[in-house]
Amino acid sequence: MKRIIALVLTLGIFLSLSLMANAAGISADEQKILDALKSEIQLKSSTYKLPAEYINQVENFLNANDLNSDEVNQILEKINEVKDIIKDVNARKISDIPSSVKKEIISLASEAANVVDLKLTVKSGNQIVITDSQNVVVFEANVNTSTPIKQTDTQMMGFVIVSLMIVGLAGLVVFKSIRLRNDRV
Amino acid sequence: MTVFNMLNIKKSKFSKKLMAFLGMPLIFSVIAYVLVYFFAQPLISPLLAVTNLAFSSNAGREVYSGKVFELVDIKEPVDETIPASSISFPKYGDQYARVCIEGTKVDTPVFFGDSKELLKKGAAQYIGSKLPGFGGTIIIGAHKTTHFKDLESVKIGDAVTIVTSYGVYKYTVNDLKVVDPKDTTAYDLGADHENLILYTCYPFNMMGFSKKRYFVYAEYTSGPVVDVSK
Repeated sequence: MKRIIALVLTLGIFLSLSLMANAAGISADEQKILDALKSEIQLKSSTYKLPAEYINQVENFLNANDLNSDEVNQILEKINEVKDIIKDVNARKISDIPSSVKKEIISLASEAANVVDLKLTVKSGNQIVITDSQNVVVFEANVNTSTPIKQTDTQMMGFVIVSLMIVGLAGLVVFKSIRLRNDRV
Repeated sequence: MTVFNMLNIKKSKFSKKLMAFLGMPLIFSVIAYVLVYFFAQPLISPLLAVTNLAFSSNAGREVYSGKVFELVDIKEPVDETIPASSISFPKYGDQYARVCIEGTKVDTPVFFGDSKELLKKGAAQYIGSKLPGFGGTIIIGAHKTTHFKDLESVKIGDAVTIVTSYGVYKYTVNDLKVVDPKDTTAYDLGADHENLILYTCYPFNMMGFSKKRYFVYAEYTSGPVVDVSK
C-alpha cells in the first residue's frame, strides 16, 4: 500500500513538474494581470506608469508558468490594493510616497508573489528580487540605479595593472633599502 | 652635524620603521593576496562554493544551476507563427540560444539573465527584455575582452543570427552608437516591434572601468513569430 501511495505521489509530482515545464503562453486570465500592471495610476499632479522592464519580467514569468483563475484573482486583488493605497496617499510624484506606505506596498507585493510560490526579498533597501522555489530569479529591480545595461568590461586588467604597480613599488623599496645598506657599509 | 641633519636622520629612521612594520607587511600581504587570487582560485572556488551552500540562507534548498537548451539546426529561417505552448521558456541562468554575426568573430552562447557570473560564460540577456519571436526589444550584452571582443567590426547592414531551441532568427544591423549606460532613451523596452540590441563596454582598447557602451542596433528580418495566446 505504502509503495502504491509513494508511486502515485511521485507520478503526481512528476506530472505537475512536467506541466510547469511545458506551460507557456498567456491566457485571458493572465492577461488581466498584465493589463492591471500596464494601466496608469493617477497621482496628485501626474500619472505613474510601471516601467516596461518590470512588465516584461512579469510577462516572461507568465509565459513560462500557468496560473489558474483563483491565483490570478488573488494577485489582481493585491494589485488593486496597491493602486488604492497610492491614490489615497495623494502624492505629487511616486518618489514622494512615505516610506511607511512603501513598506506596505512591498508587503502586498510579497503576498502577491507568495500566491504563486515566489519569494520577494528586499536587498540593501533598494534592490528587489523575486525568486522561485528553486531560488531562480524571476524578477529583479533596483529602485535607484536600475539599468538594463551592465558593466561589461573586465575588471581583471585593472587588477593586473594595480598588482604590477604594487610589485614594482615593493621592488623599488627593497632595492632602495639594499642600496642604503651598501652605502653605509 | 647640524640640527637639520639630525632631524633628517630621525625622520629617516622613523620612515624606515614605518616601512618595516607597516608598509612591507601590507605590501607583501597584497602581493600574497594577488598570487593566491590568480593561482589558487581554481582550487579555492569549489571549497568556497560548498561552504556558501552549507551556511547560506538557502542551505537545504535545491539550487538551480541552469540548463543548456538543444538548439534547432541552422537552416534558412522560415516565417511562420508558432504557439507559445510549444516552446520551452528558459529560466534565469539557462543557455537558451547562440548569437553570431556574419563577417565577425562574434559567435557565442546566450544566457537568460545578465549576472556577473553569466557574463563570464557568454552573452547575457537582460530578463526585462523579450525573447526572440515575442515581438519586443531584446537586450544582450557581453564582455568586450571576450565574447563581444569583435563587436567593433560590425557594420551597418550585417546580418545577426540568433539560434534558439524553437527557431532561427535573423536581424539586420541598422545603427551603431556609443551611449551612456544610464541613457534610457537609447532603448525602448516597451517597443511593440521586434528589435535587437547588442552591447559591450566602450572604448574597446581601454583597460579598466568603462563609462560608455557600444550599442549595435538591429531590426528583425525573419524568424518564427511566437503567438502568446496559444
